[in-house]
Amino acid sequence: MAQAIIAGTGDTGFGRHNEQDTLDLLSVAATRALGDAGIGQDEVDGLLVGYSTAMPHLMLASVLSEHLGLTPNYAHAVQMGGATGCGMVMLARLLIESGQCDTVLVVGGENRLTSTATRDDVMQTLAQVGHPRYEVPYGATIPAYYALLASQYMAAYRVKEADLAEFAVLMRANAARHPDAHFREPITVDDVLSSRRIATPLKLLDCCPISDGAVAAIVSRKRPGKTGVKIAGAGQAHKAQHLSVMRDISSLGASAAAEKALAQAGIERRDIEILGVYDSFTITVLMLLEEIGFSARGAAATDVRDRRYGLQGLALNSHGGLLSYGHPGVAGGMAHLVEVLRQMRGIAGDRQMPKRPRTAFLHGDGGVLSAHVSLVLIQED
Amino acid sequence: MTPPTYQSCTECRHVQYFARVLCVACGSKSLAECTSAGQGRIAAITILHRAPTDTYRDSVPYAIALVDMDENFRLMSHAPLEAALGERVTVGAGGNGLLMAEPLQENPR
Repeated sequence: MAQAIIAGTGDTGFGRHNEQDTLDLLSVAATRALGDAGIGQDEVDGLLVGYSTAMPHLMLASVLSEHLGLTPNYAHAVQMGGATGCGMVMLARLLIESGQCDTVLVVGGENRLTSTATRDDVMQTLAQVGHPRYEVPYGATIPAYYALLASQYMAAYRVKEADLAEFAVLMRANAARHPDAHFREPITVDDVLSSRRIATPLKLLDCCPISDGAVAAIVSRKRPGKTGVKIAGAGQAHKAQHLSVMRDISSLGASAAAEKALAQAGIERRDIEILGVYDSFTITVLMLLEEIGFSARGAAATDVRDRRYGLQGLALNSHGGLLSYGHPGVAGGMAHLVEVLRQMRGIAGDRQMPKRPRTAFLHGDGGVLSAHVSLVLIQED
Repeated sequence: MTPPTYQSCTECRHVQYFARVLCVACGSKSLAECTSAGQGRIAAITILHRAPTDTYRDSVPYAIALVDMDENFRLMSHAPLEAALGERVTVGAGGNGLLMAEPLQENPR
């Protein structure tokens, strides 16, 4: 069976990209990824592109394909909310392994911040992950859905607001070392606790920003004699879409997806050397780390305080994550992928881990911890 | 106040809040439409300080709760700002058709 590796990545950096629309941003990321992989666009025979809320086209992959002069034999858009990036990499691997494609361009991005849509428009679009009849009419927002998860989880596992804040502080400290991050000004736990209330217990600094940006990756068939970063395992879980249906918030699907990915890769949690875990809100990454088992229940914040998730330990979102590197939709979750690859290649600059990681675990979640995709990457000799 | 309705499977007794064509537990299409007694306990609560739409802009701050109803289903509702996690509530829909959870007198304060 053909083996899938990640041959290159490209991105635009996140923040404000004035006057650039979805296609512009996707094109820049895609051409940079092709350049990084050292391949021409004529070699791309598969295209997977994440949805764009700023450009909700029926056939985004066909449009982008034409725009870049690609002639893939397999192309379509994918929508799994925040799990889309990891989901597309998983699918690209399947396309390679099945023999359908040799070189798949995976790309996501949009001008979510500077498009003509207002901040209200964006919030309303995102709020639709809730139920149109039983949830959305109550004036719910994405922060409110996660706040309702936080309300339950914090009571069950004695997590405090200051514990959540640790993740915002860590992500900002990481972003401060990345020149392309949206927010780089250092913050403290007190800054987080005193930031504007959004949906209790979540404050402004517990929430990711809305950004512009795009990220692309080339997933290709491993050529004989070449080394690369192998997509060694992948797993998904989809237990429920809506908050009202989630009665057991200790097992929402993250651990199920992770178990599959780790088993496929044939390694254990303790073998993982770097993490890229979805962090749309502070509560998101805390719950994911604890459900997947990188931290014990109720102990993730203590692990941050003890620097377990620092560059000297099991680095977590060393680019700054969604919380500070930024969040332009699908590309937001893909930035975690770019970062772990940079660390594995030893090109992470000021953020480089002292010991180059050889194994990485990535996790994306869509909706309200609804859709889960885990990936395990391993550096091949 | 109109109490919420839910579906109960006549075969496996599974209870579900969202109206569907089959029982998600056993697949049976034999579902009874039931009216709740309207009582439950607050399982989660948040106070929103940022509204999503103009409609809700003037209502800020307002509270949204998840309530575990005594019939064993969970629903989303509005709640008073002073409502708290774990409190017993009566849930019913007012004139706007939206459910409101009112804490019962029995709750210790």
